[in-house]
Amino acid sequence: VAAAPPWVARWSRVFGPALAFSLCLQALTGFLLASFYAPSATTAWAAVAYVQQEVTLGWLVRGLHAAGPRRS
Amino acid sequence: MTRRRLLELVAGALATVVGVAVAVPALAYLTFPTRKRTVFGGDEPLDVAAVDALPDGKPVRVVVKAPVRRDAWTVFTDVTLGASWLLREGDHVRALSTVCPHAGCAVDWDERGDSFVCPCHDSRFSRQGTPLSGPSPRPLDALDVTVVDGRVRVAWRRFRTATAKKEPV
Repeated sequence: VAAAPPWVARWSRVFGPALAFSLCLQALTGFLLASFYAPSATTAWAAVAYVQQEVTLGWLVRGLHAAGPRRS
Repeated sequence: MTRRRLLELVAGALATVVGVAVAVPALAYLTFPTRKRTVFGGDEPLDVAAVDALPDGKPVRVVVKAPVRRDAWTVFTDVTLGASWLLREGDHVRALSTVCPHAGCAVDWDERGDSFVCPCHDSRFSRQGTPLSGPSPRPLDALDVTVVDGRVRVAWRRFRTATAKKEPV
């Protein structure tokens, strides 16, 4: 009888890597958003609007950052 | 090909697709300021003085200010862009940049010498901006000037220094 393989694929083992991927995505998109952000009461809104409307694919980066932690 | 090998290849291909799908937008996003202009305002001819206030034949230094300048999401008002020498000769007004074409210092008007002089390396220019002496590789940079309703408007530009050719930067 052959020995059982040390690693057995199970659906439950998908969640760990998926969580790790989400965490990495949050870190990456967070870094990207921070590079176009000015954290003050007078500039924060305008900076986010600029990312959303002007910067290439800014809407996608912001959308990924917003959707990353959601598990609905 | 074994089933295991096929699954490895499929998993690798999927991981590559996911990686590219993240990396390409990230690079496009990060390099945005290198591909698109982000500063606007100040390119248009700017009001600097009343033509009547300029003495005939004597250069006058004026500050060139942009009423509104937008840098990405930040809006500035009354931004000083630089300065210009204005010389009125009858109805004609000439505008020269105050930036010395040699090393970028601010040239001054020497009343006694009847010439512009750069304090850094002693380049001298005639009142038309022509080099008279010193290391400057070209004349003082002329700026586009218009007179509208008695007001002088100057189109402010910066030019590369230390080159014989006048190149905007």
